[in-house]
Amino acid sequence: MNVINIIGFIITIICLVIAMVQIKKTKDAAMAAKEAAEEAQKAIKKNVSLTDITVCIRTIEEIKTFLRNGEFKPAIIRTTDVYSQLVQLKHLYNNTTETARVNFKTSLTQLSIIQEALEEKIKNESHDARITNCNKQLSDISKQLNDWLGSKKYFLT
Amino acid sequence: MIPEAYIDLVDKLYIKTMDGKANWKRTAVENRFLIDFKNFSLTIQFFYEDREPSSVKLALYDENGKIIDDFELLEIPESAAYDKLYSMYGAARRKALRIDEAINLITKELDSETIVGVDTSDDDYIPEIEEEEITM
Repeated sequence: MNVINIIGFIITIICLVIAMVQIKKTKDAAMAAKEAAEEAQKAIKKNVSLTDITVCIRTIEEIKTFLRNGEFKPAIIRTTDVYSQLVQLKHLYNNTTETARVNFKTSLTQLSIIQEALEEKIKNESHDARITNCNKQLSDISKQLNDWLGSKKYFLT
Repeated sequence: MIPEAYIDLVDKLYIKTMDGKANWKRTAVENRFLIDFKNFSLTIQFFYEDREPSSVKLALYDENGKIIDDFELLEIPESAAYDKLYSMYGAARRKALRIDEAINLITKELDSETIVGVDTSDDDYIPEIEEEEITM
C-alpha cells in the first residue's frame, strides 16, 4: 500500500511539474503575443503620424498656391490647420536630436508669424508681408519636414 | 522704456547681436527677424511704413510658436532705449541677411589684383530665374 502511495505521489509531482512547465510556456507565449501586438500598435500609430506629416507637407504646398493666387482667406485657414496638426504631432520629436527639436519649434514659430502676417494682410491691405517671403518660409518648413520624414521612413517596421 | 522684466535680456541680447554672436533668421515678414532659443523664440520687428513715429517691437514666443508677450518702443528723440533696440534690429537684419558677410567677401575680392566681376560671356552661363516678387 505504501509503495502505491509513493508511486502515486511521484506521478502527481511529475504531473505537477509538467503542468507548471506548460503553464509557463503558455504564459510566455501570451506575453510574446501581447508584446508583438503592442509593437504592431506602436508601428501603426507611428505610420499614421508620419502619414499626417505627409498631409501637412501637401497642405503647405496648397497654401503656397493660394498665396500665389492672392487667396489669403483660404491660405490662413490652411495655415491654421497645418499649425494645429503639427502641434499635435510634436511628440514625434521627443526622441530626436536637439537640432531636430529646435528646427521643429522654428517651423511652428514661422507658421505662427505667417498666420499673423496673413491676418494683418486681410485687415490691412498695405501690410508688408510678401508672397515670396511667406512661400520661402513655407518651403523651408516643408523641406525640414521632408528631411525628418526621410530619416524616419526606414524605422517604420 | 524697456519693461523691467526685459532689461537684462535686452542688454545681453544686444551685446551678443552687436558682436555678431546671435543667429538671427529671416521670417515671412520683411522687417521682422527671429532668434531661436532652446524652448522659446524672440522676434524683432521695425515698423516704419505708414507709421509716424516709427517703432521697434520685440515679441516672445513659446515652444509651440505662439506669441506670449511683446513690447514696442516708439521713436522718441534722445530715447536711449529706442536707439538700443533699433541698433539691435539693424544688427539682427545684417546677420539674418548675411550683409556683413557679403560686404567682406566683395571687399576681399576687390583687394585682390585680379579682374573683379564674374565674366559670363565665354561660357554657357544661365542665370538663375527667381520667383517674381509680388507684394501682397
